[in-house]
This record gives sequence, structure tokens and C-alpha cells, in this order.
Amino acid sequence: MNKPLTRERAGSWSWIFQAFTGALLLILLGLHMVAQHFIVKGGLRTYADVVTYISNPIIFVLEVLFLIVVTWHALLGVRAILFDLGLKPAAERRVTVILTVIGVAAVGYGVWLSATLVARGVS
Amino acid sequence: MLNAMAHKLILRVYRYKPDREPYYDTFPVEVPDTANVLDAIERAWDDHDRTLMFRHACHHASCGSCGLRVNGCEKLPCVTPVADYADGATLTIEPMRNFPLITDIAVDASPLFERMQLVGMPIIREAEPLRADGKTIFPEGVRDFDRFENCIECGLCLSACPSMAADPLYLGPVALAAAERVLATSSDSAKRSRILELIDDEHGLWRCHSAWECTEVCPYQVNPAEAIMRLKRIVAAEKFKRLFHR
Amino acid sequence: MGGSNGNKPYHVIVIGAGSTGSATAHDLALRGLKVTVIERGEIASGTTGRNHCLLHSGGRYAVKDREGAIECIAENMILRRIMPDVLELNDGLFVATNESDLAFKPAFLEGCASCGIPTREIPVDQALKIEPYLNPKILAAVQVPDGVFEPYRFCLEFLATAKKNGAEVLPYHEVVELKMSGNAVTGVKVRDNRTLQVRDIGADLVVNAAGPWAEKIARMGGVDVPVKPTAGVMVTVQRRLNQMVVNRLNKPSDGDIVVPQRQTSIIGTTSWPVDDMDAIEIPQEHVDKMIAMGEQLIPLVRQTPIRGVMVVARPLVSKPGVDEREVSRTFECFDHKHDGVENFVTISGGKTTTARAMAEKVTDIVCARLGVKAECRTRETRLESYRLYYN
Repeated sequence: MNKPLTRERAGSWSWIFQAFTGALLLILLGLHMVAQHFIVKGGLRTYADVVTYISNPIIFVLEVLFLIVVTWHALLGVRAILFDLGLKPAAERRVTVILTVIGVAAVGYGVWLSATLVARGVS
Repeated sequence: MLNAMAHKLILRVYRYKPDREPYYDTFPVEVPDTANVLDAIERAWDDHDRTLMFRHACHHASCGSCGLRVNGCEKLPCVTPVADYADGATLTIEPMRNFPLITDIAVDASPLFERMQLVGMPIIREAEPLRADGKTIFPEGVRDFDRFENCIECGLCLSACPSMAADPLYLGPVALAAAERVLATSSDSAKRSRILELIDDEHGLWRCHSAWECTEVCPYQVNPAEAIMRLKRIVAAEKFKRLFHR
Repeated sequence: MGGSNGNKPYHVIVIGAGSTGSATAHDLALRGLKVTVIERGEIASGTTGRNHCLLHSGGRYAVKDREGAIECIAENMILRRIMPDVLELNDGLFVATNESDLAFKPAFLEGCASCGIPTREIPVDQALKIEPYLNPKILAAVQVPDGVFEPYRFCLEFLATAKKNGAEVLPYHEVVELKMSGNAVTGVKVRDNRTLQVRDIGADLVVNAAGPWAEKIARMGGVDVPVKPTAGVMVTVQRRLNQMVVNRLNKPSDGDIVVPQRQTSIIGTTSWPVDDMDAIEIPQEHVDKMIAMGEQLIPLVRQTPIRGVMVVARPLVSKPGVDEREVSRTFECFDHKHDGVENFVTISGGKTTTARAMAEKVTDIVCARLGVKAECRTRETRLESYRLYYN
């Protein structure tokens, strides 16, 4: 009855990526929290301060990396939950495609928005 | 030695015959307080209803056939003392989950054996020394002391595993623990790469969400969950190695 | 090709899926017959399951029952070839715990030699190094080729192979009646315990391999078989205390053996006649006796918590006026033609170790009765993995 057990196997990186992004998250989220909140008076930067802050190229790269890692990790989690619903292989592929599109769009928008804000400056 | 006292139990047993609605039967039984739950079920069969079908063979936790759920928890009734439950207690006896049901509490064990066949772990292994400090000496004609594997293929871990419930294609804790045994004990490279390929799959190793229920219910301390954690490390390392050796 | 009646193969029903029924189904199927195995419960849920798990070397019978001993050593060697994956092969020791045991040694060595059972005396100090928990007061130790099997998988390997050769296995089916036409058995009426439906299954011949329940089945055909159900108590403990089977070097007696298996050691056994095989009470004094006797072989038995106690009836073929311990543990095949009933054969007695030989003998008789010419090939046919039973 479970004969499809003997079907062809496809190697998977998703768990490894999720573990890896999870570990990165710990570091990047830590950096983000410290830089954006803990060492700032009142715990919150003003708009102008934020724009100045991310204008630093190193910080910009770090924040973009943070964005990618958060999105990737979260969507892999969503995918794992959806796969637990017992989807058919075609539906699983569709889920993967849709989540990939959402992820790319979200990261693309985030990067574009940050870049635009930096370019516009504080004035 | 003290004489055994009578232990009364009420067995509330799941009944299922194809084409009928499942229901519960209630069987009062009396067994010695030294008995195990399987003895109580057999007593219900003998005293009350000879059509009550349950799986059992060895009665000493070697065959692995009698697995079921007592009050919702996966148990091997042949080594679960009735004394674990109060005198007069009601025990709800239900079949294992995640197996096709044949009748009553008897399940079809095919999904389990199909997985074990796929992995191909030998049932015979080298026996550990009886005394940790002692050096093993073999009698003439015996190369090393052998014994059957710890895993008795009872399927309790498959019944308790939430990922198994979600994904009927999942290899499951029993097969993954067996795969880990093969990787740990076999140096046959063809066998090893076959196992690695088998488990590196969305429905294989990566389906485990670390609920640890398998380890919780295993009657033989096989600890499948830990074996799966080790496998994840092994396979991840192997994948990276392959990435750079191409 | 044997096994056929014109172009249709003969159909044989085997009642019982213990070791005898399973091995018989395998032999019949291998010789080209159509086989249906009927078992009222789970495979090996009767006598075979609640087994000592001892793959006899024959040493136990070498003095009093040479016939049984010779059967054992021959089958032991065959099973090592055909089902190595379900055997723990660590040999066994016969140990003398007192002067009376020691006095038995010459007869034992002589008996083993005459039955072809290899023996090797091990100096006591060496035996204690090999088996650290053995009673340090033992006076002698003799190594024999005992082994240990897994009773459920023992049956599954035979059945898996039988299924591959076309046999049909019906667990959860109970024979309620033998179908007769005149004085000939024509099949069985079974209740499918899964659906509670009753139906007839026709056959050219019915083999009764119901172990201690054989008499019950035989009576359905109006015949008697001299099977004496004899109960035995076995105690399993929470730890494996030995690697080799440890036997008392003496005549068969209660509590004369400690069999290691997986993570346990099994102490056995006692012996008393019973009438109702399905409801055997466990006498507490038998459990106490197992511990007391087992302790003489391995003192740690006393301190190790009991994991479980099992009791089951064994089918002994009785001889009038002979005590059950004295009854030969060999097997008998009854062709009920001699009782006036055609197409009905009972195989009983014996033990799991000799199941294949029992199957060979009953299959020879079945083939002769049906006029099928086919040689037994079970001695050299490697069995399929037990896991394939579920394929």
C-alpha cells in the first residue's frame, strides 16, 4: 500500500539551509538588536538616524543579509508546515515555487526600498 | 517469594470489523498482579470473546508483534506490568496509529517491514560484553558473541511519530534508526551510498521535526531520535563533501 | 513438474501457522502444490511463540532419547544454512553443578558422541572467564553447538518463502468444521475472525499442524490423536546474563536451562499435563522453582528482576503409561486413512528445532497420498528474509 516508498529519491538541502539560516539569524538578529535598540537612547532611532545608519555600506550589506536570512528561514518553516498537510507531489512543487516567488519578491522589495531611502538621504 | 495477588482490571477494547462502525467493548478481567497487560488481554479473549483479534507471539519482547496503545500511550503489552495500573483501573486498549487496521487491535505491519526491508539492517549484531570491565573470551569455534539487534521492529515509534501521521511516505524513526546502524557498522561503500541516497529526501531524514516521541515510547532504548540527529550531521557533512569533490 | 493433478496443482490446506505449519507450507509449496495456511490468530501466537528459543544441539536428549537427539543435531546444522539471519549462534554449555551432575558426564559425552553431537570439555576456570556470571562452584563444563532463534521470525521466514512460491496465508481465520464427503475430508469451514463471516475452503487434502490443539482438530474429523498437551513455565529476566546457552549436565529436569536471547535470559522449564490449552494458570511455585534452579546455574538470576513469566502447552505425543518427562520429544505423523478417514493427516509432537524435518516427513506422506512425485528440497533452500512475509 505504501509502494511509492520505492520511488526515486531527490536529495534535499532545505533542512540544512534552515539550520544554517537559523544559526546566522542568531548572529544577525543579535547585531541588529544591539545596534538598532540597545545602544540607542530610548531604544529607538529617529528616521534620520536610521537613514544615516544604513548609509554605511557595511551596515547596508549586513541589514540586507539579515533580511534575506529572515525571509528564507521563515518561508522554509512555512513550507515544512505546509508539507506536513500531506500534499501531493505536484502540490508540493507548487508550494515551493510560490514560496520562492514570495521570498524573492519580498527581498527584492526590501533591498529596493532600503536603497531608495539611502539614495534620498535625510533632507 | 510472595504469592501473587489478584489484580482486577476493566479493559475497554477498541473493536473494529470491516463494514461496521468501530466501537468499544468492556471486559472485566482478573489476573495475578505479577502479570503483564498482554496476559490481561489474552484473558479477555479467553473469558469473554474469542473473536477479539490481537497480535502476539513471543510474550517476552523479542518478536515485536504485540504493540498497541494503553490509555493513548504506545506500549508493548507483553512487558507492561498490570501493576503499573491501579487495581480496578479501566484500561483503554487501542490499535497503533499510522498502520492500516486489519481488525480490532490487530494492525497490518507491512509499512514497518517494507521500510526495514528497504534499509536492510541485519537483525544479527555483535553482542556487547556482559560485564563492562571484563574482556570477552570466546570459546573455541565461536568467533564473536552474536545477538539480535536491540530494535525488535515493534512499530511503536511509527505509531507515536507526528511526522509519520502527517506523511505516509516518511521513512519513519524505525527505518532511520536502522539506517544509522547500517552506516555505523558497515564499511561496504555501495551499501552506504545506497542508504545515503535513500534517506536524503524530503520524505526521508529531513521529514523529522524532532518531536522525540519515538525515543519516548521505544521499549528497548534504541533512541531513534538521537540516531536521526546523528544522521542529519552525517548526511549534511557528506553533502558538502560531495559538493566540493565534483 | 510434480504437484499437479492434470494441469491443476493439488490444493492442500495446512491448519496452524506455528513452526510446524509454517515449515510444512514451505515444503508443500516448494514441491509445487497449491497451499493455504489457516491460523486462528497471529502467526506463531500459540506454542511456537512462547518458546524457549533454544536451537537444540541435541545434547539435552543424547542420553535418554537418542532418536530425538540425532534429529536435533541434523536439523540444527540445516537451519544454520537456511535461516542464518534469525539465529544467535553462540553455542551452549552443559555444566555440572554437583557430584550427581558430574557423574552424568561420561554418559553424556558418550551419548553425544554416538549421536554425532560435537562436544568439547572446557576447563572450569576458562568457562568462568567466558561466562563471567556462571556459578563459580561448577565442577565441569562441556561446549555443544546449541543456538538461539527468534520464534516469530522463524515462522515468518518459512511463510515468506512459501508465499513467494504461491502459498496463501490466512491469519485470523479459525477452522470451525472439517468438510467431509463420506469418509473423506474435502476441505474446511472457516470463520474469518476479521469479518466474522463463515465460508468453506475446499482442498484435496488437509494437514493438521495445530500443535497441542491437534486433538481438537482431529476430533472434527472424527478421529483421535494421542497428543498430550503439556504445559511449561518459562521466566524471563530483565538482563542478558549469559552469551552461551547454559544447561544443567544431567537428565532433563525442571529448570535445567538458561537461554540468553536479545536482552534477556530465559529460564525454563517445568512440565505438567493440562486439558485447556487456552487458559493455563501459572502456578507460583513453578516460578519460584525456576528461580531456585536457575540460580544454581547462574546465581545472578536471583537478584535480577523478572521481566515476565510465560506459560504455554507443548504437544507431546503420548505413549500409554509413560510420564510426560519420559515421552520422546520426537514427532509423529498420523495418516488418518488408517483410522478410516481419507485426505486428512496430522503432524504433531516434536519441537521448533525439528520443524523442517517434521514438514519433510508430512509432505512426503501428502505427496505419496496424492501421487505427486517431487523431492524434498528444503534442506538446501535458503529461506527468504522474514521481512518479505509482509511484501
